[in-house]
Amino acid sequence: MSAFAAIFSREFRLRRVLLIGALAIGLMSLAIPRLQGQTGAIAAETANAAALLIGFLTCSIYALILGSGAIARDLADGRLGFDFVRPISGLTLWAGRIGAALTLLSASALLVVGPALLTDPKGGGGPVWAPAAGWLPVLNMTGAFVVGLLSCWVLFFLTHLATVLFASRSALLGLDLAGLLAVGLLAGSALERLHRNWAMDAFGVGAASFFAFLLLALTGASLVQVLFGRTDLVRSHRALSMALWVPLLLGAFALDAASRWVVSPGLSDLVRTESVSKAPAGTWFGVGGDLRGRGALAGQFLVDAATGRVVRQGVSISNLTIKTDFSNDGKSVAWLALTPRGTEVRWVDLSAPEPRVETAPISFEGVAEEPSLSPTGRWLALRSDRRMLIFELRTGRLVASVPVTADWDALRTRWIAEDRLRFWSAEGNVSLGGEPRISIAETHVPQGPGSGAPASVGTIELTARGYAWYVNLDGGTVIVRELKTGRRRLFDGRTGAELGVIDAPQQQSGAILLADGSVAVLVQGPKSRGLAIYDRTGVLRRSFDLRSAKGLLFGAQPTPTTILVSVAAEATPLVRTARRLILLDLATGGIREVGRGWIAAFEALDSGVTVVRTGPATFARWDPATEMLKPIVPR
Amino acid sequence: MSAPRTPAPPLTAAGLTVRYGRRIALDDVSFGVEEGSVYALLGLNGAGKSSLVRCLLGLRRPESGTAKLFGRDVWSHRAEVLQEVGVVPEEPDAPPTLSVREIARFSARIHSKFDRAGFDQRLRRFGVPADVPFGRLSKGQKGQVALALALAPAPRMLILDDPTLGLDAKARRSVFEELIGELAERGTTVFLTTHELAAVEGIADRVGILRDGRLLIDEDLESLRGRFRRLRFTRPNDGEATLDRALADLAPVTIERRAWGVEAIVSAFSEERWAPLAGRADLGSPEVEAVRLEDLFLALVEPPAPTGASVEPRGAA
Repeated sequence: MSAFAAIFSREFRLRRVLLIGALAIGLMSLAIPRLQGQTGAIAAETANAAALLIGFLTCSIYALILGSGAIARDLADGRLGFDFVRPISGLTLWAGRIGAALTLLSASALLVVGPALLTDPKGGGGPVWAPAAGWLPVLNMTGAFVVGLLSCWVLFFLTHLATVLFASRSALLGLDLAGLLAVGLLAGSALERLHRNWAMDAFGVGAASFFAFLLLALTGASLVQVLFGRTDLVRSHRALSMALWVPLLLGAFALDAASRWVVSPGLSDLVRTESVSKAPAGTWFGVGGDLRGRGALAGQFLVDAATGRVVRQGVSISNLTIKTDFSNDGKSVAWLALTPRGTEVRWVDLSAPEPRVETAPISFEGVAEEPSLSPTGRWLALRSDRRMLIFELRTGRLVASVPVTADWDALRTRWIAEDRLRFWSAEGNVSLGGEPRISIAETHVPQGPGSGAPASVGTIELTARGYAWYVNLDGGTVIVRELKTGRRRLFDGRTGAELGVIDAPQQQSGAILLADGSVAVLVQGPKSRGLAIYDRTGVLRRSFDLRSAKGLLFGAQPTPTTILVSVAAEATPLVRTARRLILLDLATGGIREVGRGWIAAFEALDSGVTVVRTGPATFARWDPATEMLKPIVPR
Repeated sequence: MSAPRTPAPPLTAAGLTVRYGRRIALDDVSFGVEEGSVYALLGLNGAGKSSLVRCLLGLRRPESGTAKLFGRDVWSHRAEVLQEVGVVPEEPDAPPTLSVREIARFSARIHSKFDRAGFDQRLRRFGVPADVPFGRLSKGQKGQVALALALAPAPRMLILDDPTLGLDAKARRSVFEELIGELAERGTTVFLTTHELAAVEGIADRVGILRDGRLLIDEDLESLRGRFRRLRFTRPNDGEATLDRALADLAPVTIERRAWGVEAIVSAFSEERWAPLAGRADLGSPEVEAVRLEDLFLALVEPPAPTGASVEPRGAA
């Protein structure tokens, strides 16, 4: 211990002048806001920012000075023998010299930033770093100080490393450069992969781990260098290289493997299903949600209920859900993928023997949203800025560019034929009381770029100013729910002519068109719960009393005469709750429980395939004939 | 009943081999230094002396072989064994900005037995100022400080790597006087490498001579003096071939033809072998005289002896 103290204090004293410089710089940063005439909180914030910036620059320079001087320069100049011919162990020598240098570095950082911290009325608690990129943490003064200081530690060890490597002038330097290149390429490609997939946020722990690993590897390598290289510069170089590049290469490989793992989740990695999308035909459905061990990263998958085939659409930050659109024939699916380069259109030919994700050669300026495939999947409509762009999916050819005036939340589009797109536009924010009118227009494709405005085909006249509205899949029916009265009004999707009115109670929570054109309405009031079936004119045909169920979710219509709903004992968020599956018989009014456990039915596929979710990432097909659930085994 | 344990010798080297790339700096070097003795390792520049010292101090791990101080492997137990060792390096290398006093203070914290008063006394004797930064001292003063630092903890052993390299005559003398004083006072074991052959001749008990990484000689100085002689033959009558045959038993190291006759240094001199030659008139007034260590050294380390001449090696006893 006395040897350590002797070395530590000697090294500290040798370079203590750095502390005086740091204190002077710290006081200078405190004076900056005063010189600009600032006072109070603004002055403190300016001093904070100045102290952090100047502190980081100062400590970076100190890291270069100390990193080259702590051990490496004495080794290169042949002076390290002074300590090595004394009864001082290599560990003590290393710890004393490195410890003193890092203490000086840290103390200098404190002296630069300290005065600003002491005069900050918030005590350093306010955010000083709020990055634009979502994956970087917002840092307060203390956090920014710690991160900056640790970065300077890394710079210190890197300088030590570089000084030894270059001073030895050994042929090993070529291997070092090769090692650096390999580590750089591996780590760079791993980080680029994460960045490309918006996974940096999810991999925040991983990035922090790699940073810590880098610091540890550099620290360990410098120790090994002193223990085994001792005063021999070339042997020190050799020991340092071995101790550094072996773990760093392993670490870089691990980072690379981890990044691949992060961006390549399987269906079984889903821990919570947050979104489901269905194909109007065929057997495919889309599912997405949070992933195991990947933080805030969400995954999205396409699953074939018939064969269990799974296609990974990709990963994204949870709040940037991938919006998937199937063609009506169920053979194509497209979605918008957010990448660092911009938005890309991805698609899958689901009829292929081995469906795989393709990137469509489609380019557009600005932000695109609301992708919509034509019935056969040949055309893709995208809303970009104030235009509806229509492309040929496989070639990327722009076949129409139609101006639209409605805001994105006031516009609905449906392909009503392979060559015809229909628009429903409501002006203003309809939920807060926009104009009580929905205009209906259509456009044909292809027309070529710069097409004219869609031709008006009808108008829906409303009386209430606040309403919510829904257009069914084929665009034939529009359901408008008046927010004030709770009434639902049904309109012809093309002409806007009113079909009927459903004077249902306020507690209705959702309505959906059934296969025969009737409307199923979920009722979730304090006194009554159940499902009401109305015909298109608003006449109540049948109701099902599900009073014991506090949470109720419409599921599917596996056959024309049956409906699956899922019920929960608690009114908790719909897709996350353990549920029971209830089969309702429209013909007889019968109610029967057909499944138990963590079940939420979600979609019926018009091919007769109904899929229910039986667990966080497990799914089953509902067989109407046997009324049994058959697990879907992903492959 | 077990036999009493023999104390481990202060220094042993066994089969030390050191390579720098393809160049062999030390080739299977083995020797030992006994307690209380002075061992002088001699060799031309580049013979491998510094590599050997580095191995003995645990600064370099040999490719093969072991170096032990007080019976313990130096590479593995460097810090422990150096408690008993004072070292004077070839190039005094203390931190240049520290004053001699600060260096002494540092050393006193490292060595529990550091004799501060003795250190100060030596400095005064050397005339080295204590408050001057080490980097500003002359080369001689740096060497004197290094020696004072090495002696201050009263080590059982001193290892000196060419301690007088680059010093003037006065500084060289002061180093050896200090060394002699230490030996007289405490009987410290000493291992030194040096080019000061005259000075070594007065204090060394045993001598090792390195040439091209190989230990040519490892022998007591008295024994060397006994078996090495310079022989002179003025104008041998029967020609040089007869002389060469006559000298063969004496293992000549060098044979030099001069205008006045032949001079040879032999490595296997004895009165019994010399007597038959001394009386031969045909060899022309043979004369014999003792060889100085310097002559002996030069005879051994200079380019290979002429045909017929050879060194009679003597290993460690």
